[in-house]
Amino acid sequence: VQEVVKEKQSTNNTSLLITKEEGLELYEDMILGRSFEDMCAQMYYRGKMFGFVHLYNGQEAVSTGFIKLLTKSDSVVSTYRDHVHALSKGVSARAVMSELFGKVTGCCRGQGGSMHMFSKEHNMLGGFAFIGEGIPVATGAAFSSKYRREVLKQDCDDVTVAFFGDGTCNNGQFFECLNMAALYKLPIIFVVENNLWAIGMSHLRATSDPEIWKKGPAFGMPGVHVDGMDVLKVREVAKEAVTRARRGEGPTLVECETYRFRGHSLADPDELRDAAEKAKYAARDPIAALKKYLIENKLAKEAELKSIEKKIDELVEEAVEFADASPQPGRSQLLENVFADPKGFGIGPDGRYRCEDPKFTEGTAQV
Amino acid sequence: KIREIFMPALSSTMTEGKIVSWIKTEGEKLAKGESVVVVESDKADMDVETFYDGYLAAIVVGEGETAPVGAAIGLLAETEAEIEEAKSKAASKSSSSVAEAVVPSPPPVTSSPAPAIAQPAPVTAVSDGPRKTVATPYAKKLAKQHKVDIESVAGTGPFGRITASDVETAAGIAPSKSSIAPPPPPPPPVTAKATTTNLPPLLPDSSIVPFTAMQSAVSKNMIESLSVPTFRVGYPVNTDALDALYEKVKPKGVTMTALLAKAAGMALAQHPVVNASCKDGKSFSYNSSINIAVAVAINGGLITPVLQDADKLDLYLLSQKWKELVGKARSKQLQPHEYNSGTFTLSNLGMFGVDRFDAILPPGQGAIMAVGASKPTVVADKDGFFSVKNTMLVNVTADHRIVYGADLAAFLQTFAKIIENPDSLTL
Repeated sequence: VQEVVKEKQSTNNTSLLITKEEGLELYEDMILGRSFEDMCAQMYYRGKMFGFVHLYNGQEAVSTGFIKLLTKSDSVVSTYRDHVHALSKGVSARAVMSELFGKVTGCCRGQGGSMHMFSKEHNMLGGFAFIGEGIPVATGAAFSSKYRREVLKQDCDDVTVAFFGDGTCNNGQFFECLNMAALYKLPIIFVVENNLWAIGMSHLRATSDPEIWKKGPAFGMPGVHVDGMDVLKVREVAKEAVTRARRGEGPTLVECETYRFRGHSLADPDELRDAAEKAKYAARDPIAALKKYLIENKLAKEAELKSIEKKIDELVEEAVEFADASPQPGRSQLLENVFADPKGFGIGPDGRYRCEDPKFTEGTAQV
Repeated sequence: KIREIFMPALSSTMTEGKIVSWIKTEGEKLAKGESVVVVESDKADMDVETFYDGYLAAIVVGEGETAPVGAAIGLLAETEAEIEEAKSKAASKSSSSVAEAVVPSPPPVTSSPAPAIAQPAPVTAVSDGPRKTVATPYAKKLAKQHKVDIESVAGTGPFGRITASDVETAAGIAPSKSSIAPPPPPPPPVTAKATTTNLPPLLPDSSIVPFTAMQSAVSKNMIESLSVPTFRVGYPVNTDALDALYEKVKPKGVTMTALLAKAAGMALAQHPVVNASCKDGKSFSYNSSINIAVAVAINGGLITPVLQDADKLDLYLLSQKWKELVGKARSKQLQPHEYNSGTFTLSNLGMFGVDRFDAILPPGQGAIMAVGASKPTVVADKDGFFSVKNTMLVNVTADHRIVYGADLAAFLQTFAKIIENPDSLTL
């Protein structure tokens, strides 16, 4: 497919890959992803966020390239690096930032935090902190779309996009889900964001055959390799895969070769990656590349792009103010969504939380 | 606009950070995302970026100095014109806030003021820097608390490491349990209850070793046992016949423990009340099977593997089972049902030459048997003839709510008969 994309680019010099509106939409989404993550770094360093926070800088072309092609009822399943997937899917910057701040206005009411962005409204089925655990969930979501269409005869052509990294592709759940998805011809796209590093482990050192896309044909589905630093190429591949899935022709495995511009998490000093390698990919910044394409093809003027950047900066600043001003979740929220019925276990007959009773742990401490 | 460059929280647990080096110098132009300073957190040395374009107008916290998370460590001027303003701001800052924010540490080692760009200098600093002070984090904290210059402390720890006691010595305080020391691990609540009075202070150089989980469990059970009214009955048992039998079956892998457990099991079968227990203080709970728990000392504790159905299983199977249980106990692989299903306990200290002792009744059981060593003893028979017989003293502790003196005496009589005519053990 990569070949096809290249051909299209060279032969169709007159007709461009995208319209002006599309170009600006992609640019805005990528800028949002970048600015939002930079703000996260700042807020994390200011001590406003807790735990581990993994930023998406450098990989924006993948999220934007795929998710901007989806409808609201299509589903997205993400990983621990999930803020930008949620933003691309339409979850508001306010809701994501508040979630990161642990505030009640967050998309999970402050109970999820960085790695668990979820929005029922936007069919953002969650960031999943554990490697690979999102893939079966995505496969299930795709199955439910197919079931609705073929068994319940509902008008449903929803697709699911599962994002995960190169490290995950050495995980059993990946292979199991590829098998089931191909077997059932599920409307799903498996998107590998191969940023070459599983925390500090080089993909080349960890994987017997590092070309992940080749694993698609092994299960009877197309496997595609695409430059994940080029949003237009990603979008071309995504279009084909999404259309295929919508038509009911089954899953596709897409390997996007990309790179993260920051450490694995904000607590990672990022000493293991070679400076030359970092510089090489920094020069291929997907945002700069899109900007260049838009300007060279006279799709947008510098000023238009600047105004988008400014708008996004304000949006992100506003999200921080909103999150900062939002209230903390009440203590009573502690056991919600933990037990099916908190009254049975978490809340005693007197209506008070059992965990507030000093005797709560008595008798279990010595076991 | 003048912005503060602040000490970042590089991890959720970081409360303060040390400036390892400034990558940029005062007056230098900064682009958003560029690394400006290297900070040592509680976990690693990290490059810290600027979040805005501008000029590094002033460095507030110098290299080698420490500042709490969130404190301004430098000032960033948006335009060149604002640099002077920022500088005067920094000057006022360093006179007020820095005084408390920055902990005096030795003047920064005279390295080149601006280390090569972005090269993680701290990594190499370990090897080529001047003698690096190595101190435990707690020692550093203490040094700060007592305002001791950690550089001047001689370390006595491994490889000259400065330990907490070195700092305390330097500070002229006895390394005793003062208010600054973290409270010693709280003793398990049960022991606290038992000894509410103030204990005399520990002797110097004494140490406090907290209970392991097993020891805590033992302690808890022992305190619980005080709520049961117990009494003890002893009985001498002639073991000549048993010893002879033991010699015969020993090559077949039979142990003395198995013999005693089998005998106790058979006796219990005839006296079910001794195998019963009193759970609620109102009733007898007659156990449906006879499970003999046998106390075994293991490293740092005590555990009671259980020989289930000791009355029904034959001696050889029982011995085999016992070997298996002891192996598991030593490697800490006993399953709960293999050590807590006992209905009667056997404790044998005979192998140490102990001639008699009494045991504490474990909660939830009706009786426990303490077996001493079998020794040649001069005994007089009913006709007045003396003879020397191997005799061992057996002492049973029982819960008097359900087992009365006569019950225990009858049980012991049965037990002694079985031991003295041990052929039935091999049936």
